[in-house]
Amino acid sequence: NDPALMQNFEARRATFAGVRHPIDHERLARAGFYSTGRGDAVLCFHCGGGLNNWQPEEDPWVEHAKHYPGCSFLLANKGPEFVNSIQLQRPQH
Amino acid sequence: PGPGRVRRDSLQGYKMDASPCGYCLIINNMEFEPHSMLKNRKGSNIDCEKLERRFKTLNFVVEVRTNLRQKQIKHELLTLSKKDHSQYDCCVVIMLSHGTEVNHNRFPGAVYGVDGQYVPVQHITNYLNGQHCPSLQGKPKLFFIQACGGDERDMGFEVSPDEVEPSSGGMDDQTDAIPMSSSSDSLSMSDEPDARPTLPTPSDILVSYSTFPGYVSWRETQSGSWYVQTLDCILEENAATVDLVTMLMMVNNEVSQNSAKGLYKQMPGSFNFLRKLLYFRTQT
Repeated sequence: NDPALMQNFEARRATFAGVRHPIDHERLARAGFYSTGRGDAVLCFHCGGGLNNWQPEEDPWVEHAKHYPGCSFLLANKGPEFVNSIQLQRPQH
Repeated sequence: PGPGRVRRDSLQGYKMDASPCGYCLIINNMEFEPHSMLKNRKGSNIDCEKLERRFKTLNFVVEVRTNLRQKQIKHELLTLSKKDHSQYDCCVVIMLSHGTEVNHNRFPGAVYGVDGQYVPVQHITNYLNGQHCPSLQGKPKLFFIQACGGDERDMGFEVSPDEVEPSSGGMDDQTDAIPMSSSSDSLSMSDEPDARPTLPTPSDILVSYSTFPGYVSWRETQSGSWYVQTLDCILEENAATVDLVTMLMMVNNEVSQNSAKGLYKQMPGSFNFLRKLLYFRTQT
């Protein structure tokens, strides 16, 4: 999967075709993620941040903000208040 | 031991009772070289004095460095990282300077030396990580960054809006490979069930930015910057009883409310990779 092509939401969603993932594919793709094809590991097309070991109750945007708060795709979509609210949960994780 | 301070859960909190607690390095860049095209930062000495006093009160060994070039900033950080911190519980770095946007998925942004050359925040934090500074491993490393651009009236600067551009995967030195193991800073991250980062996670690091990338940061020549003023007040009033992350939430609320009255908005940001609560030990 060429990261440069992954700016497109549909392209990201298509990478999950046939992937068994504990999180809804559309929600992952909306949050900037595409499947690496290895297990449940995903990457953000913009910041390159990767995440795996997903739990069913997790929210892709929340996890994005928790681990990669500097991603400007995240900031442009969710805003600084959202990122702060995740980052200032206590204690973290 | 101070009087009557109740700590909720010491298991969840970092040990912070070493005396002194640790080093605090303040880099205060006020006067910029003409070729840097950056204005002098009037009011920054007020910020610097406030924070010097504040962190001394919080039991830190404070050192102030003024008007450093990029190489000197790096040298000071390297010197700090080479010190033996094994008797200490914490380390604080405060940067007061102009800043600029640099993309990074964890610690974006950069801080200027007086020569107009910048140091990315990510590099600043790296000096003190577990790998480069073993005696701070598992201990909280705090970075406070007041960074603003130069403006005609010496008040602030509007940073160009963040552009969303595709990453080709090589935008920083952490994304050139896709390691699937999440083991990094040994001590942490072994027992959480969350989605895990597939890149090494910085642990025990907190960066508090005066402003998010793409937002202005305001400084007043008479009273110093909004962020530092607010941070100093919140620390003064609450450090004895409230944990750091909660105090930073108070700072964010206050600064963003303050700025909401004006034309521009300022929203401080805290990028928090601490694993426990942090309570400062205040002097009595």
